[in-house]
Amino acid sequence: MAGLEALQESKAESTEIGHADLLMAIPVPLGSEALAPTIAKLLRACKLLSTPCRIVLALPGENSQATPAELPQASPEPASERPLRYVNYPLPAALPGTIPWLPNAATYREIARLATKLDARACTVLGTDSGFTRDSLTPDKLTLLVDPGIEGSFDLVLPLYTTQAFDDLVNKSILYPLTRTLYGHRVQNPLGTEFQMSSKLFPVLSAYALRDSSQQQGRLPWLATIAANRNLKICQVQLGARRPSSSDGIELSDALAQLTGPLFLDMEDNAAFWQRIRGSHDAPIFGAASASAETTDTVDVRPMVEAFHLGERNLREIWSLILPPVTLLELKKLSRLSPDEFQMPDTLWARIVYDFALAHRLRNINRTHLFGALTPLYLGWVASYAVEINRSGIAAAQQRIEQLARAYESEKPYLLSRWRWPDRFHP
Amino acid sequence: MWEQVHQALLESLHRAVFKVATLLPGVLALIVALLVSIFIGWLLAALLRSILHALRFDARVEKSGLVNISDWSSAKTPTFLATRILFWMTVIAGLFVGIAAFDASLSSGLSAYVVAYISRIVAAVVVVVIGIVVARFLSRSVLINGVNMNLEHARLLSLGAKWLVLVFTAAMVLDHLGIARGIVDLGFGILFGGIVLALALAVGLGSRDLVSRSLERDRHKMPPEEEVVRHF
Repeated sequence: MAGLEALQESKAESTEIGHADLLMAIPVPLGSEALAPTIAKLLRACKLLSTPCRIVLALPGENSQATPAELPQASPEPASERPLRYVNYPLPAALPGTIPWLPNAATYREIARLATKLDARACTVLGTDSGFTRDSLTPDKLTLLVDPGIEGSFDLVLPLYTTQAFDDLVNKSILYPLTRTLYGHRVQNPLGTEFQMSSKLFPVLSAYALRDSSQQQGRLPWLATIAANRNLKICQVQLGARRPSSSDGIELSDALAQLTGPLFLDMEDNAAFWQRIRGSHDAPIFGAASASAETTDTVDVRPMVEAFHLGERNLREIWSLILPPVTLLELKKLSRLSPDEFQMPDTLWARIVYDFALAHRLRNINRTHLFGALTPLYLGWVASYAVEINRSGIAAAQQRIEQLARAYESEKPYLLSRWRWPDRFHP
Repeated sequence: MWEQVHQALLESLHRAVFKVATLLPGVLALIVALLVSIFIGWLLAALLRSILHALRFDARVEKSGLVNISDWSSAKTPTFLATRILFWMTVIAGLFVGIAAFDASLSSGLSAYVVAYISRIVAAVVVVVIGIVVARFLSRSVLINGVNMNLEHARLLSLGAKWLVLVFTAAMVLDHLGIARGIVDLGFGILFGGIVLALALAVGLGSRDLVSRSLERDRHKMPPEEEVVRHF
């Protein structure tokens, strides 16, 4: 009931505001201390845009600090001539146990519906990670994110962050290489929480089906795959360093399920499309990469190797429901290595991810159990990566991820074979 | 005297043959009813299967996301589950018909007793199936979560959870069937209480040092890697 009322309010407000060229949306409630500097930054960025345009800022309706009447205005001009106008939209409540900065389908759907109502040319979604919005997203970087969509040259603008060697490892080990292999676009943050989309994506997100029953608000839309499926133009912009997202109180297996699960579901939906894709190509990059202040710490891999060994000893029976015998044999060999020599081959890791994606589709075991069983293997990969980076130096990290992505691509025939003939014997 | 013995034996034989002859039509009726019900069940299941396939029932259930049947049972598809249920319901109905025919030929109260007991057996079978599924699910959950929490004895815990549920299920089933009810109640009480007491004693006395060492090790082990490695 409350949601309906909020939606009606949102409709009324958008009718008053009328048309907009660009909708900027913040998909999570911001505290009052984060809201004011963010808006000040947006106002500065509006003045730097190469093409002047009418911009509306959408703030989640639950944010009590963000009622349009109380927000700061940039200038004493009449409301219709102000560079930035405000509108609220209903924000569905987050489910307990979900990653706080990860928006859901329902939020994106509300934003897309609002953008459609405003007849916007593009929509920029900003900073689900409030730390990033507050600290790192400078007006010139924001302009970089907004311009390609406003000019109409690209349909999806994804962020490119400067990360440290041991940051964002789920993305580096699974999300980036798997998306690149499946859909052929080398986008390094397929799950960018800052992005811009053109009006071509609004109807897709507005009608996004809430098909994953385990999440009432729907699964996370994987924008990179949606755009790739429709042959839309994708580019990346350099947004600089990103403060690591908060991981307090989130279990690694839950995070793996929430981040990797939607991609596995997408694989099922788009199987006919990605099976035709061979190789990959670079997505255009705009902006200059900023140098990151790398820490020189080496990682103690022993706890991760121990977690892998513990998994190998106890979860063999469950892994055998998912992985073929040859992979189990390789894992057994790995379990005999000492932490200093621990090395999981990239091709083995790629095959493991493919086999888990297939098991997710076939429902060999409960899906929550599936991601729980993946966790020790993932820690094994992280340990292997850390051993190599400790040995060869942090500078090799980027190259190492590129090498992993190429291994995913080289193993794609294995995925195709397993996907098409899952019952065929694989030694 | 021999004539009287001969006469008594003949009468006894006559009565026995008469009894068997009275029972035979009932037994035959039971067998025929069972065979016919199996045939009808098979026919109905085939019909239902083709209707559900035509309606793309599996895809609809999967898409609606209402139930994740494969997560809980060994049945591969919702159609398979529905046809099996229909088949066995028809067979059980046939069995009832057969027993009623058998009972009529026997002119005793067997039918009512058997029907009442069969309903208990069906409920007991359902309890066993649910118990096995829950035990398997819980056992896997405990094992996986235990491993991810770095518990060295995760497998032991998982086995414990599995057998606890199975023993609990067995006690429920025996109690429901009315078999040695007193012994089951007493035995289960002693067993369950014994397990809890043994665990309490083991942790409180025997494994006190082990538990404190394990907690100490976890406290010292976890923080450094979390500071340097960030997964998302």
